[in-house]
Amino acid sequence: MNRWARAAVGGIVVGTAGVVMAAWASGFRYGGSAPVFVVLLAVSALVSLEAGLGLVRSGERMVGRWVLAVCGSLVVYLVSTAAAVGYGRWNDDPAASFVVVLHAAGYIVPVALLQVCFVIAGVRLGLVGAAGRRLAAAVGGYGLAFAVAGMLALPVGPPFAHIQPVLEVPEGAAMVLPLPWMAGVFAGPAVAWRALSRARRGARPRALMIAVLALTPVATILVCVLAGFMAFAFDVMSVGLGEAVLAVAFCAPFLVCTAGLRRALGPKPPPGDVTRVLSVLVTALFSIVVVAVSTILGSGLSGVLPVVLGTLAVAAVLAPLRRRSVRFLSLRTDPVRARTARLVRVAEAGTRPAETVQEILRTALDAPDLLLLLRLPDERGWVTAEGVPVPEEGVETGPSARLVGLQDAADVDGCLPEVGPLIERAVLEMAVRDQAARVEEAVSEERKRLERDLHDGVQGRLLALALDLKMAQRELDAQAQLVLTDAAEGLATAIDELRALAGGTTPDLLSRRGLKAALTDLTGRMPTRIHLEIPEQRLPAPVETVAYLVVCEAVTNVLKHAEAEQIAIALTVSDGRAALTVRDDGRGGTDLRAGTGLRGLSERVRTAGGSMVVSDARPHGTVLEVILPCG
Amino acid sequence: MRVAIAEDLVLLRQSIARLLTQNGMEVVAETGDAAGLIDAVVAHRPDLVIADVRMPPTFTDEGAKAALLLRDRFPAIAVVMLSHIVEPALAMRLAADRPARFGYLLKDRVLDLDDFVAVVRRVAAGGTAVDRQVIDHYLVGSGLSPREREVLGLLAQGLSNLAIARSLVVSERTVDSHLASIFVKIGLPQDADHNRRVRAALLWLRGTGASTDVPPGGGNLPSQA
Repeated sequence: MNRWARAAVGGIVVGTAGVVMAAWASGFRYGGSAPVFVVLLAVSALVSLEAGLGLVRSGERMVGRWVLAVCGSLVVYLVSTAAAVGYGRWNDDPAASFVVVLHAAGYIVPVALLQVCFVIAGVRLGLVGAAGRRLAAAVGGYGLAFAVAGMLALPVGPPFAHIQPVLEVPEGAAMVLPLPWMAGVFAGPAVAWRALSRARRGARPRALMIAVLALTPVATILVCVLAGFMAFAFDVMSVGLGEAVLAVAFCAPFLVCTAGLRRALGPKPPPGDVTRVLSVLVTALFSIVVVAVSTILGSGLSGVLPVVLGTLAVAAVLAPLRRRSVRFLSLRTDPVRARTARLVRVAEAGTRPAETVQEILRTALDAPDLLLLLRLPDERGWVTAEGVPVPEEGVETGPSARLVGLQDAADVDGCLPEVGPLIERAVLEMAVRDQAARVEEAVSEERKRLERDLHDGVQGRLLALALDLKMAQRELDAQAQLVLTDAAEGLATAIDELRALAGGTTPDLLSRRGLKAALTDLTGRMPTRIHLEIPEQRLPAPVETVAYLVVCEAVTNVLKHAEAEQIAIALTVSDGRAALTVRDDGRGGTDLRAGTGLRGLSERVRTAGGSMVVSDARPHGTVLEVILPCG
Repeated sequence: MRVAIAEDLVLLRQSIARLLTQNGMEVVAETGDAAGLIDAVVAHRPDLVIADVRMPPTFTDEGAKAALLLRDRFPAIAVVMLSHIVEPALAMRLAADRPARFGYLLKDRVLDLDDFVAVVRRVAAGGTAVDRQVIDHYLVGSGLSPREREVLGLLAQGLSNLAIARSLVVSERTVDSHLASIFVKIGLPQDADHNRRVRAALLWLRGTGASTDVPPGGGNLPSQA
């Protein structure tokens, strides 16, 4: 059956096109029957036939039938054109008049039916409900009514000017009649517009594509208007060229939209890069506007230069508007991107842009396990948002960023323009942090080396020297003994000072035996009672160093200011984080902003990628809490 | 008395050797690392070994490991460990289980020539010597009176009652009565044997006295193999 239908319609289309071409070749000049128009119209009819049949076959009967109706109306238009030029040209009877007015009004119905297809597709995808059906009925119904009214009441142009309209209508009514029909061109975009914001996940790529398709007729109408102005009003374009542009602009929507509908509703959802198509379409629309404005300018101004300058000025004015429209439409058509934009707007990146971006993407993409990886400079590999080194994996989202744990990689494309600047900031911040950590590490290594040299070299020599002096002392008279005693005591003091100096900020004990041993040694020398709860486990050297410094500074502070009786120091390690708490029962009222010591400490902690909070303890005292990432 | 010295700083090693020789001891071996020490002990069977905790090649705790090994293999040999920093946990681990014939001192203590020689003699004679910084560390928060802390600290360092009395400038009877009250207070059995009392004091300090080092209820020590 389908094969027969296809053959029949194909035959009709090719036959009628042949008739029109023959008439044109025989010297009958009629703008609308220019060969390019007839050929395009025939191709459109065949394409829409194919699309309609395909839709019906794949189960989309409703939309398929409407696309077939579009095909039918195109065929009617084509046949009536052939009949008008083949019969109506030679005869002067009611039949001839009928085919001529049928041809003259033939363009009205397919335009309306195409919009009905969009609306029905929206209904079919569940994006609009009963309102959609009513809209389809209104658009389709008015299209038919206007076609009939046009046949009866609108005058037919040359070369058929001898055929008078059956009904006399006032001038105003003739102007008003087409307006609702023209407005109908916006039915498809309106439905898509309304539907997109509430598109369900599965329907979204289809809905996006239909939205983009629905904009095509709008664009071509602009082109039609423009070509009309240029060819007939401003005389910047030959009438023949204007007609050719009109022909393409009239047929393109049927070609593009029927095939596109078939694709959008087909068994395989279209790819997610519809946003890019949208951007191209909006750009095309704006180009048309620029050309239109420059055309009007050109008709008013004389000379090439003013026209060129005027065009450039218009383009410059419209460029930001275009960018904003693309973004506005993208936000509207892509709920993920809209969510991302909202989150970015309310987010405060603060000092951890990487974690902020990761959190935004997790929320926007609804992927709680998503990980943002950032590349460090100088081939230093990749790190997570928390700064922990990891191997390179996941989906690339820029030169220095990757995402791991994406459910649908296509979704990210929409988010990237929104989070791009934040990601760049995160990469920079991570590089700075890495640099700081490297410097810190180098300094710490250098210190350790120095300390070892002092202990094993100078200190030992001094000790041996002091021992020798003490022994020599015994062999000498009282006067010499006195001198030597002074010398030996001086040496002992020097040894003590050296030990204190070498102990410095990273005592040897810390690097060799770990935090517990070092803190035990440190707190053992303090006059206040100190409880330690430190696990035996070793942590990465930078973490141990920072934790040790925190305790040193905190305990010193407590001893100096707090008048505390007890200090409790506890460290727990879980989930790659070390949590250190220093609690005292002193006076409290410590403020992070007050003391430079604490502030410096807080900076050290931040450099290590951690955070520090100082608060009052209950009933009195101070609690200092530090969280450090430790992989 | 025959002594072996393991210390990687040659100057210091020679000075200590000279000091001991001047005090009538015989230094039978001097080495600069742990392996050399064990060889020397096997070859010379000294009465006492003086070893640095930290020696080549890694400068971590080779000396301490060698000392543990020697104490296991040759229980009769006395060991005095020298360390350039105080590591209370390590010292206590070494001392508390088998205080007899063991000493742990900060290196600087060699400068108190007479004290150092006395400590070496005391350890060689079967006694104990733990650096006072180690003991102080464990005495913090022990709940005793300052005087009692002093007495217990000196006892834990390995001093005899007489030596404690001299150190505090009191009579030996006073020290006796202090010790008796301390032992009652902290619930340890009064023992006539000095070494066992030292050990009890060390164990108590390690287990109860200072909360800084041991998990709650950790008074029961695993023996050092």
